[in-house]
Amino acid sequence: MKTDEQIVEAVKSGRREGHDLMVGRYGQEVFAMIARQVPSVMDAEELTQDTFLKAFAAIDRYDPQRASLSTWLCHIAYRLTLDFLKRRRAFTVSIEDTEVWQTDITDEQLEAELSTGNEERIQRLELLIDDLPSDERLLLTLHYFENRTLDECSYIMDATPHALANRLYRIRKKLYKQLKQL
Amino acid sequence: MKTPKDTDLREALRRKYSHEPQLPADFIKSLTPNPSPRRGEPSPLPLRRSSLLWRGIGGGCVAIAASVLLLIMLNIGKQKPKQQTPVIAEVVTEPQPIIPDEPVEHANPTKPIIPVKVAKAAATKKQLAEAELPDTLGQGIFESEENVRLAVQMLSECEATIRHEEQQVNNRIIEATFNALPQAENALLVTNENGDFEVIEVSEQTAIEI
Repeated sequence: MKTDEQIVEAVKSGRREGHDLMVGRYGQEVFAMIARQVPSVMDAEELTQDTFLKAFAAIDRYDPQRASLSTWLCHIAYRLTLDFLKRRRAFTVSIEDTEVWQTDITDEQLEAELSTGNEERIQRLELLIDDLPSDERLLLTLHYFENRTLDECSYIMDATPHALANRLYRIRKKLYKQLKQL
Repeated sequence: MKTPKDTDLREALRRKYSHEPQLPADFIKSLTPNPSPRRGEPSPLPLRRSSLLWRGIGGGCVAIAASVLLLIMLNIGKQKPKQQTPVIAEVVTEPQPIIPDEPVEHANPTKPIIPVKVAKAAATKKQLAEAELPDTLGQGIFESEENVRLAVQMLSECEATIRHEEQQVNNRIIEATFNALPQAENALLVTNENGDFEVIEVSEQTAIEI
């Protein structure tokens, strides 16, 4: 089993084996992340191709001290997906909702409200996630579904960890508020 | 920084994305190798993308070509009868007298004879062939004035048949177009005195009465 460093070295030396190993190890992860944002599978496939081609071309700039290979690839995929969605005018950004900020609830209470195990709530949350803007949905999937740390998310999404933590809190509050409106 | 549990949210996301599409097994093959660079040239990317875009462009070109071909065919089909009809009418209405190869006895020798080329032109029409013409007509030799009169009559009938068919085709096209396209509320499809369909616009009052 080759390490990420060995794969990077193989790619740097232009060996086909390196490309195959990198795509084999991270292809599905990158593709899945893109496919969650882009509705067409064909477009997602093409963006995955672009991601790897860009990664192969820029492999000399990869710094393992700053991010893992997986996070670095997801960062490239995120940028390409963002460009793609902006070109299609399909990228939606969250707008500040003052009502959400005014919702008076502590972080502990919020956590308890979103951890009930209630089947109806879970189903309702599935639907509410669909209505979230692209950037909020991506943050939720990276953090809650892929279990990435806020540091990794901040590298991928070009934002500070503090800003992402605030954004995450706001999203959870918004979901809580919408659940309460039922 | 503490990560909240939010188990409901995690479960909702897990269910939502549990059936994610899989990357095709031959994905790596889609990144096809580039040819080796020539000496002195900068090294290109080791791989290049076999773009799905080109498949889309190819499909689009085929669709456009098919549409153009269809339009041309429709246009030709529409124009053909119009081009042929006046030629027949012209020849029939103004027959040129010619001297036949062999002397033929006529009831009235001063009457002009329909030339051979008229008969040949008429013979190209299916209607003439189906009308069981006399053998002599096909050979272009009219033995009597009666045959000449018969030939002229048949040509006139052919012409009328062609005109009628052409009119029917045109009417069908007009009717189909009228039904297919959105029309103004006061637009009506009517038949004029010649039997041709035409779309007219009437006043709102008339439309309501109709």
